[in-house]
Amino acid sequence: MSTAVAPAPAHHSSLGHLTFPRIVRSEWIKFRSLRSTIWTYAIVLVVGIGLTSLVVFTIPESTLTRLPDDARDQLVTGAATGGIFIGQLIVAVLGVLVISGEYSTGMIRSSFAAVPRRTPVYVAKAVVLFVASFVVGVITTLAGFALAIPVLSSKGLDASFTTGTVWAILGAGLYLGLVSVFALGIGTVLRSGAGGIAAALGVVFLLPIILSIVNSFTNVDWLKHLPEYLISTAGQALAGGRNADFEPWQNVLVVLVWTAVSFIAGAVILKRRDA
Amino acid sequence: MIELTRLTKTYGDKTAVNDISATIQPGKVTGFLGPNGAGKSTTMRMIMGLDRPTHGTAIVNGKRYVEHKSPLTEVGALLDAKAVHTGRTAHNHLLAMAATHGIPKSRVHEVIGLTGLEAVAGKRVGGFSLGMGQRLGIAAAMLGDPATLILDEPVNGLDPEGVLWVRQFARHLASEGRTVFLSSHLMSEMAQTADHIIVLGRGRILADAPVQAILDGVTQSSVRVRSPQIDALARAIQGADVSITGLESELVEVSGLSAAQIGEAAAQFGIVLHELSPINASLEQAYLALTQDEVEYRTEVSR
Repeated sequence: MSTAVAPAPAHHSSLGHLTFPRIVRSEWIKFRSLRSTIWTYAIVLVVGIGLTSLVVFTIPESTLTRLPDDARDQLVTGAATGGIFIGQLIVAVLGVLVISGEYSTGMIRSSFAAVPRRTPVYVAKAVVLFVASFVVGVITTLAGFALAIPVLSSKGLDASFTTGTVWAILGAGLYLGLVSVFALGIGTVLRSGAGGIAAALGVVFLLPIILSIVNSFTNVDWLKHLPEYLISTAGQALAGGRNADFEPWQNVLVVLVWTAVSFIAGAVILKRRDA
Repeated sequence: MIELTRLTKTYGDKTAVNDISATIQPGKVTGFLGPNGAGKSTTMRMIMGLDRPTHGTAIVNGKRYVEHKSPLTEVGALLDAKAVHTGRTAHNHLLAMAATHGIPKSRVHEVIGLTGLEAVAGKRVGGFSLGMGQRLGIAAAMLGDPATLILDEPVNGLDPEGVLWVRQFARHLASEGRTVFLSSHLMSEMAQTADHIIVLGRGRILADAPVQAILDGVTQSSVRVRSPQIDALARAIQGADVSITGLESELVEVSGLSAAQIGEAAAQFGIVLHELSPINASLEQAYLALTQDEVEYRTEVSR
């Protein structure tokens, strides 16, 4: 730091105004400049491809040939998209950290000093998070199918790339994108990394387990159907799986409602509370 | 220009900022002085729209901060050192801040140079010293070349060279016609940097005046007089506004009269003087006198 003071340029030179695309760009710079982001997505990809490899390389040919027709498609899709089960947990953690990391480090005050209306920062974070998680989800499941179809075909299964495959790939991307935004909302409400991660994983991972335990002891009709309305059950069905007799749009709707509730709660609290 | 009108912030039943009104003028360095916990940072956060006032308003350059279309070119703020994600490099932090307003990369490099951060710009902020964090905060505040600067404890953690730099920098910015509002709990720092001082204690404004006026107004100057005929002198100068405090057998401290007045009185009565020294009140004393009853967390020696 030199003691000589450099001349400052004239006030209000050609510097620009706040615009939403600029705020998205800023959030993208923030997002990609943290190591945790790169690691998180790398883990989603590695776990996804690893899980697919494990299944398709170890499944015996005798099992494949004995399968009924409709179970074959399910097996290919299940093997190719199985990584999404782990991937949803990883992107949920990332979604929480994207905001809780700003609160724990004090960065949020810099963010809000630059964008005092706050909401655009939050929406821009969601856009960046959604797009990145969507792309990673698509790449992971695309790689999964690219691995599963030839390997399973070589083992005598009649597997091919169909429109169903395309929908499963897009659905996996859509779900990962939305579940990360769902977690962003939870992280914004709770502000704390530990609390946010616990709550997000509680909903995505623990809730289905708890309900299945309860259902194994009781025989209440509405409890039996409750799991169908969970974000993770509907979400994994988007990646080519099944969720009771739900149509794909109904699964999308379930995931969207969970995401919207969490995201809107985050937006309201973000605007009201002191930073 | 910053205009505070009846600004109040309460947390539950605790009042952090209590009905303060003040105008911070452009072209001057205005010091915001007060003991820790006086409400300085809360006030600054309310100006920046980070904390919501319970009552009252804070107007910056004619509007509430949140209403500006281009906030970073209106106000640059150093609110606390390291309001930065620790996992990001200084360079990326500044790039992200700049991107919100479409501020070009060249300006990012300019502020890095301006604050002497070239050597560490590529390092992650988590490893920064407090001083480096302050420089980064100042760099971020300067990104938009703002008309108003709000700096909360800017010299905190800086080495002597850095302190000198901030002082000159603040004065330079004010000389360009900008509004410079900086807080400190160190009176000596203010005495050397500010033109105008607002003293805050327990959320209230105790004084809002030019530095010299604070000095003159709060603590009376006194004169130390040493004389072998001290009793005769005391009789010669006594009066309603004059107070004489004995320090030693031949030494007193007189307040209410100037050294010239005492010297003339002594000459008139033929009194021998061995010492006649005016004692100027320091800003430090003025500050202590002002905030004596307003310190929230005073160290009590005897309970």
